[in-house]
Amino acid sequence: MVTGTTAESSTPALSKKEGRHHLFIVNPRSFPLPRELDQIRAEITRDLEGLGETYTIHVSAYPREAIGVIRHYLEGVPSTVIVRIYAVGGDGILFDCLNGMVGVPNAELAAIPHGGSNDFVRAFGEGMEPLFKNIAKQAIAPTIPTDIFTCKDRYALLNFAAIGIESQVYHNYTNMAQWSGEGLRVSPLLTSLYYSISSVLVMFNRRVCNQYYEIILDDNEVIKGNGSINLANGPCYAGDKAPNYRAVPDDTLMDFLFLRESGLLADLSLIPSYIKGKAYEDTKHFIYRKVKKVEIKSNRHLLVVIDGETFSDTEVTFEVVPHAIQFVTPDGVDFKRGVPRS
Amino acid sequence: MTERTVHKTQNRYFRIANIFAFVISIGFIVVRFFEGIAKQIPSDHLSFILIDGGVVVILLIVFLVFVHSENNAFLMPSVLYVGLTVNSVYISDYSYYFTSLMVLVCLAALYCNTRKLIIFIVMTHAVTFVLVVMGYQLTMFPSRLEVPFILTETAVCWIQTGILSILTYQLTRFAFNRNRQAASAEAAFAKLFEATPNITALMDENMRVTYVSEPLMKLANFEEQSIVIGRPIVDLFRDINTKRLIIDALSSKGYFEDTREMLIDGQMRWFKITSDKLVGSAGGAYIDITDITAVMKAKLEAEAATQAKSEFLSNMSHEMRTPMNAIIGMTTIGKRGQDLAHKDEALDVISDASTHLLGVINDVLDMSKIEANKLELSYLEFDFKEMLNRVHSVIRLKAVEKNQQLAFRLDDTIPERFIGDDQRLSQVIANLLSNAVKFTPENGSITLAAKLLSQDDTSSTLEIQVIDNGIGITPEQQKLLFKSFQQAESSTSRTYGGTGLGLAISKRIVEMMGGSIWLESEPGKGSVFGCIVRLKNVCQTSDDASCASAAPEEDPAVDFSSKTVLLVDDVDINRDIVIALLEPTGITLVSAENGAQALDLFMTEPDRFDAILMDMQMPEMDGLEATRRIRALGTKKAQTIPIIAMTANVFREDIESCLAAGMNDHVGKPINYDVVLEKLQQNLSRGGR
Repeated sequence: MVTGTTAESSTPALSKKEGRHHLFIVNPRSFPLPRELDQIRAEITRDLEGLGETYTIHVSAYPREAIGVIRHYLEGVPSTVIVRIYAVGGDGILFDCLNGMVGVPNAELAAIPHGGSNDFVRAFGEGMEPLFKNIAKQAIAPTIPTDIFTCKDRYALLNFAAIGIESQVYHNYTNMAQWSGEGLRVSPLLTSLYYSISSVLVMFNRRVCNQYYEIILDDNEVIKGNGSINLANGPCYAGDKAPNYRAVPDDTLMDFLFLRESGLLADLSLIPSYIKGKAYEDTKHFIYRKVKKVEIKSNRHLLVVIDGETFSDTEVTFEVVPHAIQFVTPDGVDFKRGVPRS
Repeated sequence: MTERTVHKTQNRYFRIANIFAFVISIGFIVVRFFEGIAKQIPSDHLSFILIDGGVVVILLIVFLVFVHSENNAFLMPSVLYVGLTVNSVYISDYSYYFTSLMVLVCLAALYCNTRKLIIFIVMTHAVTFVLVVMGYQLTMFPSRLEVPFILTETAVCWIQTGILSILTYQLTRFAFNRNRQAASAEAAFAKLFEATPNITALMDENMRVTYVSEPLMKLANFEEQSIVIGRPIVDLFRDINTKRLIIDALSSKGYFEDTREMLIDGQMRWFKITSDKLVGSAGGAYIDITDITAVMKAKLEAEAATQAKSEFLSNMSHEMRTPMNAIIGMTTIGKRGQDLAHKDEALDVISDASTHLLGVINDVLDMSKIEANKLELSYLEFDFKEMLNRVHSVIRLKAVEKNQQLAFRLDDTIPERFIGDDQRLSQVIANLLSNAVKFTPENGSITLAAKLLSQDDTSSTLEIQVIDNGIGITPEQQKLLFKSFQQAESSTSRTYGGTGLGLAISKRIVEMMGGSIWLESEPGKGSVFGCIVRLKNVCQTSDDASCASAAPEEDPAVDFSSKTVLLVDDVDINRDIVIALLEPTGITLVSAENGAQALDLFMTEPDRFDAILMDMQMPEMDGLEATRRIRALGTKKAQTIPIIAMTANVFREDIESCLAAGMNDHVGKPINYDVVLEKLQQNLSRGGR
């Protein structure tokens, strides 16, 4: 772990806020070459030295290690000190950082996208990655209150969750990406290829397609059937998938989308339009709601994917925690609302 | 990976090999087809192309039939070889097909052995030779002039292909065997790992799971290993504290060991977590979580019991030392005091302190009997009201001191007499009343209410309640009350005194009487202690065999002044006490220091003695042996003289030992004057019958 402070220098008023710490959590898998890792370290050091505030760089040794690192760090800092936590890498490290800082009122979360999968940043619009990569701007940027979902007593999530056909497809896709040796740093072409192969394989897996769900929305509406469930806080995931593009991460609501299983051929034909966000018009095959709470039960174990991480459980409950975290927005950009993703 | 998986892996290789061979062969034929067209082969050669098509169809059929068959590994390459041979003969180019043949041979080597491979090569080359010759003969094949060239080229290719094939085969076989060994070892390891009862996982260098045991799968609520393998180990655990614990373990530089308690499914459980990095090229780490809840619970219970016993011993020490202090102090004061009134006062205090000390000792002994499961009840007929009167007379004195109202209310339907252990029943009632007096303030009221709940031919069930308007007991304190070594709280004994054993003993006695004991209380409003006991009815007719020994005989009065008793005890002071107690009755006491002396005295003057008071544990000859010897003398006097045991051993088997040795009765130490007189009265009047 690298720490540093510098002498006071002329900096924008915001960065001179009393007692702000900057904790950078770097995912080394987003920087496979040693020089790339050195470059990002140097960039952080250069940009933060100019601020005159305390900063720390930690390179994550393994997935989820950041949760413990962040918790330890926050416990060692007075509650009056604002700690800005930077997830340097993809959505995986962002997930770890979120779960390390969630529930701590003096913590803020920033994303510095590098590597393959940076879907949450796209909630601010396409082509915004370079802005978020600007560390100097991120260090002085304001924040925007952002919703998160909690998943029972497991994790908090920032972007999306999927159960059923879609989760199985995603699970197969991640396995293929790892099998091919690329981890999750997958080019868009290979992402599409793996996703397509995975979709076809899952469509022929009737055990997955015929899994029966009982879904309770907001303790009120009950939906029963086979299919696929998508819960979105952000509008897109897995590169070009945006079935729930109307989702906005600060509307205090969860975008619930349920694809009714309609048979092999029908499912195969629905997938392309579903992925592109055309489900809203198709009320025959899709159910769309904006809700605060979703309970899902099934006669078999559920395969759940949340922000790219997989687990299994017999029943699962998702709840929105409105404006639970402060997410850093360079240049004060806002979430892009209701725009279909190309 | 199990053996079945290893087998599946071989099948997979075989399928891949066959698919590959088929694709190569078809590709070769297609290439040759287009090569023929490019070379503008004459039209009659097109028929050869059609034959190729037929070969392809045959190959396809063979492929679909045999593709999954491991046992036909030899067949597929053979058929493919024949097809390619025919094709190449037509096109008159043999070099290419030998190259593809080499590919087929390598694939076949996965399942063939060297002998089969050589046979395969020889046979296929022989077939080639025959086809070439037949082709020549049929004139569909190259001209006579080309045959020697073709044969030479064929021979060269045979040799070349043969050597390369065998080399490739050996290498492939070697690699395959190594893989199979590794696969078998991995399968055995995986099987062993799955079978471990611990919550264990192996991780790679990225802390992603490579192996996981079944208990961890269950703990994490995962059904299939395929979901778990490759996941970060932290994801398998639910709550954040557990996740942090795992992260702490994995983040440690080397060996990590810790014991933590975790709330799982609403229950507190204890786990010992160990973790360490794996050395070697593989890297990674292992984590092992052992459920030590049972051990920890036992440890905590043992510690709690030890703590309770330590507190109890401390309490008992105080309870015993306090009256001992009074006894010793007052003895000194009494000896030094000149004034008779002071001496009497000192003796009164000594008497009270002795009684209290005896009560403490009896409580401890009773508790030890209960712990050793040796507490037993006696069954003698007694008068219920008389028993209550005795209790009343003892408790009334304490109530009067505190100006409390003490009332007894008895149901009229309660029978007068029962068969049971009146001593123990009075002990229970006295304990409840004593607690009521103790924990009720001055001017309070205490009521004992007894009623008959039910009655049948043999027994009656009584309910006895003690009701007071004392300080009451909180629900938390109520949970502790009937446990041994516990009072409502530890300060109670210091404030109110007592060993804290009375209720535990009472509970045991009541349960032995077929009943139960309970408590209702509200702090500040008083308490109701109740018990239900079952007592046998006194028999109504003389036919009832159980009545045979129930009714005690009334003994005639005895003139002790004419009696001589042999007192046998090795402790001088014990003899002095008995002599001092009994001398006022006029009885003559002759002392012996041990059983041997007693035997000598009795043998010398057997008619001198009317009874023997015999201690048990004595040097040279103990009481039991002395009694046996006396009874063994054979004379009538020796058979009938009453021998009464004086012993501190009050367990039933000790009493039975005394009776078995020939003794007639038993008195417990410390000696109670009234009891001794009563026993002498009984035994002297019966003359040892």
